[in-house]
Amino acid sequence: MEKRVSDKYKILAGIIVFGSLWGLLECTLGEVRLTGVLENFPMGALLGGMIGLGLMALTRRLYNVLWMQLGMALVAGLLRFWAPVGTCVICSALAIVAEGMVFELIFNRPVFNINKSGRDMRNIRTLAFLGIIAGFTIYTTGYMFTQIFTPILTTGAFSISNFSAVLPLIFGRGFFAAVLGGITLPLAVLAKQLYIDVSSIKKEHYYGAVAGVSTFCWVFVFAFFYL
Amino acid sequence: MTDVKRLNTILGIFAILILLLSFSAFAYSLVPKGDASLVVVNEVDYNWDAIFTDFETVSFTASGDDFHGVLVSSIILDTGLDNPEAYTYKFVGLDGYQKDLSWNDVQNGYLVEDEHKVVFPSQTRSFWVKDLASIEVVVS
Repeated sequence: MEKRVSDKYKILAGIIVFGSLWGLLECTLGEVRLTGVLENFPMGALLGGMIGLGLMALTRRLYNVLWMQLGMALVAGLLRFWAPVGTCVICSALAIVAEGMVFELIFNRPVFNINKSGRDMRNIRTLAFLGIIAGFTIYTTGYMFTQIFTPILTTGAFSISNFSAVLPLIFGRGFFAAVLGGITLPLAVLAKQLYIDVSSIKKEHYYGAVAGVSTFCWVFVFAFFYL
Repeated sequence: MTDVKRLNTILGIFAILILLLSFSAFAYSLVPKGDASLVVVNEVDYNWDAIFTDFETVSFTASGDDFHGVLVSSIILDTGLDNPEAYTYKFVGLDGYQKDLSWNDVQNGYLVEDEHKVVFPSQTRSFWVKDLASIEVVVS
């Protein structure tokens, strides 16, 4: 069983640094369009099913703190809010927060506690199955969120027929998020190389690294989109 | 049956269902919902290549990018539609993606050759429909 980080300032710093990293990746990879055989690959599935789910699962393992991942999603959404890449930025920011909420709703259930010692959540097959379900749910929820809130916030109207027409697309793209989730969750929970005992890191090193990485993420986004 | 086996069975069934259904939906979305060389506007077929020779193209900027395109409103009016402000316009892509817009919004829309998409500079990108298959005229 992984140790629970009890220092609330370390947890807060963790929320900021991992949320900033997630936000940076959302801002930079969100509008990338692949070509050739990968033309139909949705980048959002990589962001939701792999990066979002992976970062949230990894931090749940490292810190063992419930609701921390919703905080990370809020930070990532806040950073995404400042990147004016094409789509409705408020909606994208809200969608990231929705993804964080879905993660909490799934993984706060005692049966899916990835820090539980022993059997269930140390079983690679269980984690792969749960990763498929979580990756798909997180991605499709975020996507549906944008399809509902973008028309409401930009035109003041919502069309049920438009939304229902896009559902096969959302679920179809969710296939990639499901597959990626099935790979990512076991890796984030079981890979020994990804584990760091956060409690044992000296405060000066921890806060220095957090400040450096977080500043880099925010400065990069502002420089990339505004300079 | 042990707890782990039971949990794996339940999760496994859900996971396989998700993979099967989502893959089916993905395969369905790849089936084109129309002819890729045409766009049907108010039940009139327009060849994509002909659109850019028969109609005047104009330059515009949208979301920080420069485009050349044909005004959507000029093609809709070319179909002989009277009183266009009385209708709503449904833009449908070959993959089934669709967006409804009013005549006010349509007047600021362009068809561009790249990806055969419709671009609305005043709207967010989620309103842009690529691989446009049809523009349906709907009674508001």
